[in-house]
Amino acid sequence: MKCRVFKNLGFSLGFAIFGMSIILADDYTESEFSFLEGAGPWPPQIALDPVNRFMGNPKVIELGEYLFREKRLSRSGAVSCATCHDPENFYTDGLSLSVGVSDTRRNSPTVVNTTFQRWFGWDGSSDSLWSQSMRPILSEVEMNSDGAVLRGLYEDDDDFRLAFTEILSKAPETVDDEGIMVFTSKALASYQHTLISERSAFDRYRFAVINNTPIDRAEFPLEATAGAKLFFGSAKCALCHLGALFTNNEFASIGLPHIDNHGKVDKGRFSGITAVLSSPYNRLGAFSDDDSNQQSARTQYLRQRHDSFGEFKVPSLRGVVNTAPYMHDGSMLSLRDVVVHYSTINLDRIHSNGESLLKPLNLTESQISSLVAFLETL
Amino acid sequence: MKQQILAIVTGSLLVFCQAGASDDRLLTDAHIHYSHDAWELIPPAKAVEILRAAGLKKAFVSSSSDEGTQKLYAEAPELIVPVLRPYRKRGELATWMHDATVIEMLTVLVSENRYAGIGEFHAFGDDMELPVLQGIIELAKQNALFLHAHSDADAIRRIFHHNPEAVVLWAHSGFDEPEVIAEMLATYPNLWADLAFRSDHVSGDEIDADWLKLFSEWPRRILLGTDTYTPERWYYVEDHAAMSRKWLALLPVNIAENIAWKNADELLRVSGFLK
Repeated sequence: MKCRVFKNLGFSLGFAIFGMSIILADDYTESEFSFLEGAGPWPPQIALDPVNRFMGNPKVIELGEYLFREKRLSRSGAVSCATCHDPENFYTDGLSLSVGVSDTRRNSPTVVNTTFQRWFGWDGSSDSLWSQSMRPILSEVEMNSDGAVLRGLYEDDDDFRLAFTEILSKAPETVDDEGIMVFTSKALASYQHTLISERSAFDRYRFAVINNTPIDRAEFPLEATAGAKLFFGSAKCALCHLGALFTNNEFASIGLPHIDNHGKVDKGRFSGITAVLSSPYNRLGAFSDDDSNQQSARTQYLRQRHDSFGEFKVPSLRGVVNTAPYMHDGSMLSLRDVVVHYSTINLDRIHSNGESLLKPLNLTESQISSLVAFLETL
Repeated sequence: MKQQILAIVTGSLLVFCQAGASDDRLLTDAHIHYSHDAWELIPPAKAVEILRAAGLKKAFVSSSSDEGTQKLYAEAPELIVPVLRPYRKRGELATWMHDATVIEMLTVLVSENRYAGIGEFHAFGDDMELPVLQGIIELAKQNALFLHAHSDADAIRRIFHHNPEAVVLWAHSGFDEPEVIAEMLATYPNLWADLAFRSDHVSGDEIDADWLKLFSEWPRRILLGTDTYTPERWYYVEDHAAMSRKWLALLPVNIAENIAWKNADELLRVSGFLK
């Protein structure tokens, strides 16, 4: 039932130029409009995370950016954060499965807008951006590094030594390896905290629809509007991909196989919960700078569930056109592949009491193209 | 008042609780599937290895098609409890009940092989009045087989309406609340309930009070189950067993042992599979 019709100048011009079909294109039901309105404004309020006292410190941010591009973080000296999160490639590597010091089992998501997340990594194995930043440093297949390797960077390079000493008011020789590792991770997180995407074509469209101002059809074509109606309406994408970040910040099974490239099962969220609860670097641990623990309830009350096995992060769709390939294993090369997956989803792989929202969408070719066109505006 | 009584009951029970999780506690897993995509990924010998590594005393196994169950039963007859699934292949959850040839298929298989039950099948409400479901209830009656039903309470009631002597294992306990499960168990003495794919009875190191009440009132009617509904979940059987041992250790010893494996044996005795 169409409850509300939102007219604007662009709409009227469209009607005059293109004909009747355009009139329907910008009609939203009350529910669809509610989801559309909720998908902004962008960016949301950017809060500092109290578990990392360095966030917002310009000197630490600058150091973090240098560290992000620094290959000496890895034991081999060949891999930096930017290897898999290339700033020239929307902080991704464009590969299905990323390659650190050796092959990994997962696709590298972008770190743009990552500061808004609640859990980090495809399995949510970290509960803060700084602890997530430590994970690849220690991973045997990513950087295979440790505090001793990082110490060498600060002790042997005058620029890094100077930055370290200025920020902490002490020399690296006076800090133990673990302290150096934690500081490095917090500096990396402080830099990533600043990586926020610009307003998108969708943001300008949303503003126009809400405020009855002209729509720029050159950047938000009618096909994208048809996709938006599907996304916020009958296709129910927005039930999980909601809000300004286009994610519920949680985990789900969408029926994807999860045997990895080495023939081993990827337990997804199940192993992520185990990891975050047992990590000394979680929000409840001694390395958190938030003594009040007021923002740690989500970790404190996190519990393992049987349906966590095989679940993966519901990713943000901001800038999704720039982050191919898709899914935890990079198994979908294009946005079209992703939409087709939902159109033909195999319910056999989803527990009948699981993701009850998921049903094959049985989309037409035109609808698939519309959804892709919409996703490209995010 | 209700809470006070529960507190007293709980307090009394906890006196008899075990000190910690027993890593080698025997378990019976009453909800395992081994369908075609599973046996392609995990051959029978490897599958049995997984079940043994999980420390299972028995595993109730069904598959789409039945070939998977037969492969596993041949590999380890002392471990596998064969259950006959009425699906020829995965993907028939919502359509099988309208396929009139299902009963003929099951009848032939029952005459050729040994089974403990029929299921797990999916049927809800008045689905039970369909000829295929009626045929299954009758086939189970004639061959002393239990029914493993993924059903709502209404459908379970209809099974017992049509055959008051039926023996039923209620898959996932119907995803119902403990109060409803208790009411059903009280009404139907031949009803058992499995806990497959349920996490609501335990949170961390605490068993939910309503579930604890259910386990205490019906200690002989609850079973464990993993539900390997995708091939990957075979790699969850060990994790599931470990998690089960952990929360069972929070229960009084006798209740824990019943849920762990004794109730499964009792179900098999009542239905006639075990002598």
